Amino acid sequence: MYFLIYALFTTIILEFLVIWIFLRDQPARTLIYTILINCFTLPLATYAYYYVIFDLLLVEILVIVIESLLIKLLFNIKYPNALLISVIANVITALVGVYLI
Amino acid sequence: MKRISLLFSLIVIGIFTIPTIYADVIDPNQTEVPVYYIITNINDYPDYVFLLHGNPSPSFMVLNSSEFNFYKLSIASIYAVEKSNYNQTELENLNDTELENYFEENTNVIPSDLELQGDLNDINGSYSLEKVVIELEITSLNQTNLVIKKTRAKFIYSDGITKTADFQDQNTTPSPDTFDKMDFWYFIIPLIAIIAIISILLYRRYG
Repeated sequence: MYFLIYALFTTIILEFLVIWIFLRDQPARTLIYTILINCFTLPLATYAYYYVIFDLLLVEILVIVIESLLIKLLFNIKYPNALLISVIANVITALVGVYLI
Repeated sequence: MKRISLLFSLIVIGIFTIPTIYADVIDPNQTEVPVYYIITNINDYPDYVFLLHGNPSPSFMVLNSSEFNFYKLSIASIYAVEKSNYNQTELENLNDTELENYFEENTNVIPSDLELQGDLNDINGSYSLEKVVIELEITSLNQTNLVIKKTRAKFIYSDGITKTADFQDQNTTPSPDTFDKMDFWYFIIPLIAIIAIISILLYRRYG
């Protein structure tokens, strides 16, 4: 459980920074949306990688696709921009994750 | 726009090369899982010393109520010796051949027919599986016979979760249940999040 909270906290901070740098939207709203997006994807992705799929690349691709859709809907931006933000945010969190592992 | 496209392309290429780097280090499906053993009721037999002897190692190891493991390519067995017949110093001074003879021929040594492996390669799992602890139980011990059964396997993951599975067959390591009580957090949090997201979207559309 502590592992999940730690991973969630780190991911939210990193993805919030990426999204905020791109959108420069209201920080509070950006943070809340980032928390919601990551609370949806990270636990499911972690569970899938640990116990079901065992393939980090496939899990990351699924996360990028799902998060890009959620970013588009919540922030009301065009899909290519949402996909770009999602890719960059997840690459950064993946690299940090690799470093932490 | 060209710069963004170039950046995007580099990132995508990066994503596809990261798993290659991973593959050289760890293949999630071919992880060697360290296996530990523990005799859960060893303290019920205070008059005996329990020894582990394996090929190629350990030459011998005195067992207690703690977890133990040994070289991953070894196959080992557990032996019991009555405390009154056991002399640790004598055992330490034996060479390899004498030690082999001691475990095979000494009438004071009570062998078990259970063979233990140093590692497991038939477990469904990922690199997140840190170790497996197999619980052993002495079911019968007298002056000529030692019977030990594998009762339960504990799968300990790097995220702190421990899963257990009972042995149904002594020759087959059971697989961990894919779901237990601890796993609820992995689903409750996303459920709450998606309800909130849908609520926001609906409110924005109809509110």
